[in-house]
Amino acid sequence: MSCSLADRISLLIDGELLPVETGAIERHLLDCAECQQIRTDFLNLRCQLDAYEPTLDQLAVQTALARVLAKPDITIVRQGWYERFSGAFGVHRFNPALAAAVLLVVFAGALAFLFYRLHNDRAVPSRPDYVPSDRQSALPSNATSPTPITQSQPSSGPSTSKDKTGGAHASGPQRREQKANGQTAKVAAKSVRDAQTASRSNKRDGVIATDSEMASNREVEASSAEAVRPEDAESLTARHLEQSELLLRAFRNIRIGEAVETSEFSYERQRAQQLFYRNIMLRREADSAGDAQVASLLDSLEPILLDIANLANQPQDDDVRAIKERVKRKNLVALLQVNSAALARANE
Amino acid sequence: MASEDEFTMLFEEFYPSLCRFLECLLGGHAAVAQDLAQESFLQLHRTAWGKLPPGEARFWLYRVARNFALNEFRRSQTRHRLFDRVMTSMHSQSRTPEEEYERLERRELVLEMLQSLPEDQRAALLLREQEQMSYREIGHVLNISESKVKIDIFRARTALRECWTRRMRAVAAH
Repeated sequence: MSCSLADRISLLIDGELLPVETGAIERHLLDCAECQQIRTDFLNLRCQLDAYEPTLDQLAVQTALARVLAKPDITIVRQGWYERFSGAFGVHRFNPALAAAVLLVVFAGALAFLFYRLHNDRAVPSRPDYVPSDRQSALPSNATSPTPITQSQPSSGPSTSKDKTGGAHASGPQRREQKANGQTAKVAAKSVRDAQTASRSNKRDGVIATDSEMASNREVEASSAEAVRPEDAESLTARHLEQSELLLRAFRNIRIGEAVETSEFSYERQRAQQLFYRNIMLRREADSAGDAQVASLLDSLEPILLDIANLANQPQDDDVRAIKERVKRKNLVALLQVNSAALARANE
Repeated sequence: MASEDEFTMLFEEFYPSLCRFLECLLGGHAAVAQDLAQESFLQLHRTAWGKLPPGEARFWLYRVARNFALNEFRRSQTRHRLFDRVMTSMHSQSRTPEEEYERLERRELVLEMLQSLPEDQRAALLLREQEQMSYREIGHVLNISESKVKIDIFRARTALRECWTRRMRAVAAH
């Protein structure tokens, strides 16, 4: 900018000049093309910045307001893993004692699980390719698993690595086998389902599945738990939507103006509170899974559940009416019904 | 004593603007911006509501929000989450594809240009252009002198002007 008065243009468009100075600059603008261009560009930038719209809608504003007004000790910050986990239980500040207790419980659970697995592993021969004959007959002929359905082997990595002479070769096949077992967990689960179908059809033909079959099916399903996790979330969500629908229907049927027993609202409130916390978890699950439709529905539902949970013991008619109108306006009952049915069908 | 209704009115009036300010400050991370905006209002509700002089709540909010944003910058991770993209695509439903494309292009350009500025210039410019605060008010929010506000805004505009001109020349050359 070559003009010495260019810096005054910024002050001019912001109205930060004295009237005398404003007059002088405006007279200068009549003769200075550069300053005219600068003013035009600055005003254009102002339009661009002012036209920027936030990624927000009215529902998000209402939800945010509900969260701010909800609990005095709630903290809404960027959700790290700890906040997501603890937020589901209403705890939002770091508590060392609580964290230690949780770690202890998790550690104890892991030990118990390990003990259970080791105990069951001992009940079966260690040969990796052993398949009891009764289970072999129950397997469908078109099973696609490259490895038979057996007990998963206990980890043997460290011991084989110490064997220098045949260590590489001895651990290699075992490592490959463990890897193959891990990779085919999903396929094994499918084989289990096929086997179960086959055993059910065999039942119709009079053949009864043995206990060892069912035990092996349970263990393979446990080992492939990660593969079926998304379906668990869907079934949980479907149940949650159904229960929320029932709650809102019951709430909708409450008659305003008549004497309402305290116990009726107490039950609705408690139920709404339980569903509210579950809604938070499922909404975050849907967000992280990228399921925008479910996340949006749960987002609409959440403030309603919160408001019902926060109703007084004997609420005012206006408060009840306001919630009922919001439920009606959002057509929530119908949306919940449709979505819960769709999720339940998808999960079958 | 300030009431809950007044707080609700303040929230409904300034929450979208605060989200917009934070989005632009943070470079478009809408979910983070909304979290920080909510946290700002929560702090106001919990600690300062009813204790501030009349009209001060707005400036208090922007000051706190900006501090939260500065803390956010200092964190190691600020990734653009899938949620942001989902929210952006969900908000596109009321426009034609061409309008939406243009709007997103413009948004991205504005965010990109803003990110090229130092944070203090960016904050000062946004408070001026989006919130129409005076230099005195901006100095009050950012805890800087009016002279610094003046200089920051002028430098920010000059830098953005050059950036914009270069862009337009590049587009014209294409």
